[in-house]
Amino acid sequence: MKQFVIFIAVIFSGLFAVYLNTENTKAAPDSNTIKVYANSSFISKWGPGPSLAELFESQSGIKVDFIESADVAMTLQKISFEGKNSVADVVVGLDQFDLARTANKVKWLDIKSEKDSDYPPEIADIITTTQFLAYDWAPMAFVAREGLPMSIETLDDLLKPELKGKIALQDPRTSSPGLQFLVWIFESKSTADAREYLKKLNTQAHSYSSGWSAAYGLFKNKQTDLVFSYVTSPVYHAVEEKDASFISLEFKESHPLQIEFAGVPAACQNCESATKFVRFLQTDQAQKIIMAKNYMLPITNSIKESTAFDAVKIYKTKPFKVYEKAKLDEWIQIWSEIRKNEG
Amino acid sequence: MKVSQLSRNLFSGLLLAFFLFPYVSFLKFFNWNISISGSELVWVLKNSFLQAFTAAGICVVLGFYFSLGLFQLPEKSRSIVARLVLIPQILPTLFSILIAFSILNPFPVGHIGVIFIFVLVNLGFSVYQITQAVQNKMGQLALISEIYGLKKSIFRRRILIPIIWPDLRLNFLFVFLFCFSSLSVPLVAGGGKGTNLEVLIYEKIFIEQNWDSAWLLMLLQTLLVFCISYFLLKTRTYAQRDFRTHSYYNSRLAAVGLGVYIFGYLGYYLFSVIDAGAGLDDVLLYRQDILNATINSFVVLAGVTATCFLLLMLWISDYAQGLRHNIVVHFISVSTVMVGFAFYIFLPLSKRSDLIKIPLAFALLFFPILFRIFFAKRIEQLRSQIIAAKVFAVPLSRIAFDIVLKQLLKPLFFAAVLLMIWSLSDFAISRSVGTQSQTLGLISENFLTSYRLDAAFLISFYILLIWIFLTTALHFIFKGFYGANK
Repeated sequence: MKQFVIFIAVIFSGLFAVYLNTENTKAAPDSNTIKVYANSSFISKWGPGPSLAELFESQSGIKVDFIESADVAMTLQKISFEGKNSVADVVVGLDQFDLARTANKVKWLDIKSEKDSDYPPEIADIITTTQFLAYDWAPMAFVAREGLPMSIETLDDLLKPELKGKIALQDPRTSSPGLQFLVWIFESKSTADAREYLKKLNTQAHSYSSGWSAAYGLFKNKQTDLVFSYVTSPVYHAVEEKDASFISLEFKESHPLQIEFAGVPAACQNCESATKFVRFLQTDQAQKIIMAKNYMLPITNSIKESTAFDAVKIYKTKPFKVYEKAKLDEWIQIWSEIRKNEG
Repeated sequence: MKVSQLSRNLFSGLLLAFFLFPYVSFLKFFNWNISISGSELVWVLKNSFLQAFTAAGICVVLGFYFSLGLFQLPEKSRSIVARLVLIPQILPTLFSILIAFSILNPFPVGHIGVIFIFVLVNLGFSVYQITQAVQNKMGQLALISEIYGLKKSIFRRRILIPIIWPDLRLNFLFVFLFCFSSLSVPLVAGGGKGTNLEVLIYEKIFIEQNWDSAWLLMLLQTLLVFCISYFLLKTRTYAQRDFRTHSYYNSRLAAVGLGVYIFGYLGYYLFSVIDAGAGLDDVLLYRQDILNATINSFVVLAGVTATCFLLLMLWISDYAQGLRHNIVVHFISVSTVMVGFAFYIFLPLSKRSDLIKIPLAFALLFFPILFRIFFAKRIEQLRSQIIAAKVFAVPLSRIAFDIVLKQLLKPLFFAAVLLMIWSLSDFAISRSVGTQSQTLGLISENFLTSYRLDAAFLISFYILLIWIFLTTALHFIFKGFYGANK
């Protein structure tokens, strides 16, 4: 058994050597470094994070340490539990629903945008949010392949018999786009009509996936004809895959908006640098990077000129709104009750 | 207190502390802000039990039958196919969902749909585990039965099934657990009946931000599993024997069924991989990241292996002292998100601390399952040898290493094979502990969340190739040990 003991000793020695040689991102607070919580798609090589960090450092001399966020809900809870001991200087990737959820959990610094006069009219109302700055946005819409045999122009058109079992949706209890779609229905119809609509929609839905990627995977794999996604989704296929056959569908009802925000928790260590970074996300250079890597629209229209995003038609959208938690709970409850009796 | 009693308490205490960590740690933040609807809880439990129970039952029955198909194959092919059948359980769930939707069109949404996907994903694991049980326990009983004139059907009904019955029950429990804690499958395929306990936990976190309720639900989930394990899995032990295959274990029809299952699943998977091959150039753009992720995955794997090995030695030492398994043998945590969250809030978020928390979280979630599958009963079989050694005052370290571990090499190999692929392909646990290092599983998931389904397929195939390479290497290492110890 000596071999086993040697084997394990070698592994632990190796791990200890790796441990000693691994960069420790939890080093003592360094006034020249900010710690930014962000999701994996923001930080990954194909996301905007690495290029933004490099650009920000070259412009300001401040280093950006990205901390990969497990999930926004978990991250906000961690910051809330840690209180003053939190290491978070910036949190990116918050959406409208997160702003509502975080209200009682985490205190945030006020930040004034230097770009608020340039916001596109569709998101102009975000100036009412004083603690978070938006860095990208997109209307949400159904995405399909060209050549659909029927016209789909309203929410009611989704109930056409040809679409039975052909729509990939997300579960509003586990997915932000899923919640967006539910809110869209309740805001476009009376509560009684929305109930009836949801009952009928259940036969049309192929499935309610736990997240956007599973629903989009089903659509991409031709299991469904429609998927609820972003108006910018077809741009990805056109640019990256040279496939122009994907389209987003314009509805007569005003479309919901997905806006991504960044904020600085009040317990920040390097608050001044953190605020600088959040403002930096709205600069023209940063916006170009975010648009190109995140496949979302910039918060200044001029950025997208002469790019593939310029051709994206911006549909009539609902105004920006931070929803009350109680209202969201009520709508989800109704959805759950209806869903419970189906399938 | 005697020194031996003190050390036994120490080992027991260490094991208990480790496996109870996610539950106890959260009490620090507990506020009694509970909002759980009783009727909803009953409803989700009904869904969870119905789906998991039925799927586990089908997996065990079909798994037993298909294992007879596996014995139909020549020995070399058998060992390869026995590894291949594990693939459905280790690929990202989305791939299995896509395959299931391609096989059944229109897909039967509801309980039937969920059960179908659960069976598709877990059947191979059942075949693998049941085949192992037959090989470990049956020795030459088939040959003896034939000599005594027993028919094949009587041998299977009166001898084979009763002897491997404890393993069938154990397999049932594990498939039940895998299904019970699933989030994606019930939502996608369950229609209105898709809400299970795991969805309810996620809803408490994602929508309500009510961690107190989520924690209570996790506790309930674990207690249910504890009760099932404690009351249903008290088993007799059988001595391990040298196995000789025999025609009584073979079934051509089962071999055909097994072939349909494997080639149906793998055929679609390979077709998707080949189809995704057109996007290989895009994936190669990230070759440096993939290389780094490969190295990180190896480091994680080394850490997980070493941690699990230490836990095993601790467990063996504890057993050798008390001559019964620690109560935590029944304590199987199933909620990835809650276990992950405990590590997420208590340990710093850095690449350095990844080296500690990923192995610990993996060990906490994987080790109890592996221990129950491969080691628990085998250690019990060595009870008399341990007692004899203690009578002769053999030191505990020698009992653990030279008597027990020496006889666990075979299960150790099979446990390592499973541990390797679970660790390499995982993204859910790594994500929930807030890992800062890219691993192959995480890269695959990142591709999925950024429109790149094809790239995710290619990375999953790369993971499989690495696993095959590592398994082969491990096979030769163990062969060396075996040769030395025979």
